[in-house]
Amino acid sequence: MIPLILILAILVFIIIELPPGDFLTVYVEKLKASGVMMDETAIERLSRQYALDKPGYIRCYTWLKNIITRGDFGRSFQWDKPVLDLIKERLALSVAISLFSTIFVMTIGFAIGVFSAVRQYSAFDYIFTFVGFIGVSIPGFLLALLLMWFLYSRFGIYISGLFSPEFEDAPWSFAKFLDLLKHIWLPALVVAVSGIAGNIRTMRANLLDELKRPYVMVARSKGVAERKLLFKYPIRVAVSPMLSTIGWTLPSLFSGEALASIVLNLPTIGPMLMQALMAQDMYLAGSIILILGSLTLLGTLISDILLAWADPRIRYGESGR
Amino acid sequence: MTNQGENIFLEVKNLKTHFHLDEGTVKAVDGVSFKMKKGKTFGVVGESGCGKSVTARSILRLEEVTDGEIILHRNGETLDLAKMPATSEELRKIRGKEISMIFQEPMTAFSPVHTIGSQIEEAILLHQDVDQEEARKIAAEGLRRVGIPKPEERLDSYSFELSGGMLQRAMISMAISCNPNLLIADEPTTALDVTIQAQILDLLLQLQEELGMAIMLITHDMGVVAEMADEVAVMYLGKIVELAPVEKLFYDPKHPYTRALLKSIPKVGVKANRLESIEGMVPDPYNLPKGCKFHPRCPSYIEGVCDAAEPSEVEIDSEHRVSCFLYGGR
Repeated sequence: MIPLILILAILVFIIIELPPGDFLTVYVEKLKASGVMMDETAIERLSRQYALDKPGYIRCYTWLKNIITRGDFGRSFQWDKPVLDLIKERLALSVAISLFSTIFVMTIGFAIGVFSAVRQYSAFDYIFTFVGFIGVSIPGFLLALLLMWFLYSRFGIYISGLFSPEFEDAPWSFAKFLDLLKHIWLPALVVAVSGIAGNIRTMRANLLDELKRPYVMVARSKGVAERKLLFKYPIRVAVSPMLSTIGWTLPSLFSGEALASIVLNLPTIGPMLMQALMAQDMYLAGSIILILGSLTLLGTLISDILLAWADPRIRYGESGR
Repeated sequence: MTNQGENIFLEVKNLKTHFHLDEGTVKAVDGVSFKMKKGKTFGVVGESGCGKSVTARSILRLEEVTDGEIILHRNGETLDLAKMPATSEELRKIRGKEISMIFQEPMTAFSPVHTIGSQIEEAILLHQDVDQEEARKIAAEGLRRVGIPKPEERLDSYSFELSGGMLQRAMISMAISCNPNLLIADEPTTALDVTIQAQILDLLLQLQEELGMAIMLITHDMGVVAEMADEVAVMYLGKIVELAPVEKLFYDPKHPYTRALLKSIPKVGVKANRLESIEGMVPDPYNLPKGCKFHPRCPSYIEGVCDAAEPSEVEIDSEHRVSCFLYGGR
């Protein structure tokens, strides 16, 4: 896990370095466009100040060393502030949205999937199969736009941002937290929709498979009550594949969150990452990607641990029969 | 019939289990009647797809029964299992306690994510008034009874850690953990190799002697039936075509199908170039022949009779009955 994060960090740095030019060239171009000319010495001075004249590997090393030893992610060129101060709050909000989304994905997807499988070919099943297919195929940002338009034109509710105006710039308090909870469910739901729909399909298919397994009939032949049997055996087995997907749903949640945030104008990390990439604000962009990547790795680790806990076949390194 | 009354534990009357599928209706069990006596072994034989397993599962109502009666005799009372709702508590108290079942494939009969012990203890906790700790002791004792070494350790094993023979023993021990009056064994040895087969069958006989339970033994192996059963029903396409005590069935088979089945057992010491087999194929279940279902494969086929109507049951004597026009039944 630790080596993986290191490799991730180096990769991130290389990718950020890949596009030609750097923040300075963009900056100088911008100034030129607005009619200000900078002389060579000024550019060189700036370049030295930001260590842009040093070769890439040295800058990469310094960046990593500062992160590890001092928790310093570098300075943003664009905002002229330490990266960490810039992203702290936004990152927390992003993680909050993703967390809520994950919870929605797990609970709603699970519940509907189970119900669909147990009542296969019922009206409920057909309706949610239909909804599920739409959910899988609709892009999150489109859904966000549609919801925004629908709620505004029908109910006059304008859903944008994560806070009511009076809390927007207020310091953190319990009231602000409650206000956040009032707003966060909608973007979280928008981000979660495709995950929920995917999970409905996975859970339904897995459970339908498991319901046909002999051990279900064996349990029934012992006189186990139907509902207890359902939860104890087939659902328990069918849940394993769902747990293993947590790991790779996290990245898609993050990217979905970025798109939805841009559309819904949320003060999260997604829009900031996009801006930073466009301005070649390399330490800001790199740090955001590094942190998101590490969180994803962490998510995968958690999902692996959960899976090993739930499924003895994995714990014992056996593929099962 | 002789031996009637007190000795009978379970009586199946005109049992029908039909499956309604998109392709048509499959009459998997179509009017089957038989009686099982306490402490005796009732064998059911037939080719694959003849409805023997479905009959077994129907008795426990694990399949949806279309019609018929399944009458359980208990202290002079009678209970009709076919009338109870499939998920009723009444029925659940009979399942696993009075009637329990061993299934075909031991590898898939245990949940892969629960220990063997927890699955055996579950049955004990459901039907006996004991706590978790006692249930575990009973379960361990049960595993020892079926000859599993180190039973305490095995309780904490998962199904993928044990061999097929061990799992089959574990399943037998689970099925008899509540001392049932009837044990339904659905091809208990099919998935196992021959030496283990013999061990398992011996084990069943020994347990039958100890516990006095009736066994319904479902198999397609005539040799197993000859060794184990007291009475045998031969099934063909959802019907019992012949029912007789085991000696009569083997020494004086009446139905052409029974005869053909017996002929197809290879004999030790007789060198034959080819194994005897029954001509033709089991007909398509969606498209059954008219008249007697066996007539297209029957060596004694009578034109205009066998393909016109189904034969009714004929009593050869009080304990031997057959459905064939050769013996009347018109």
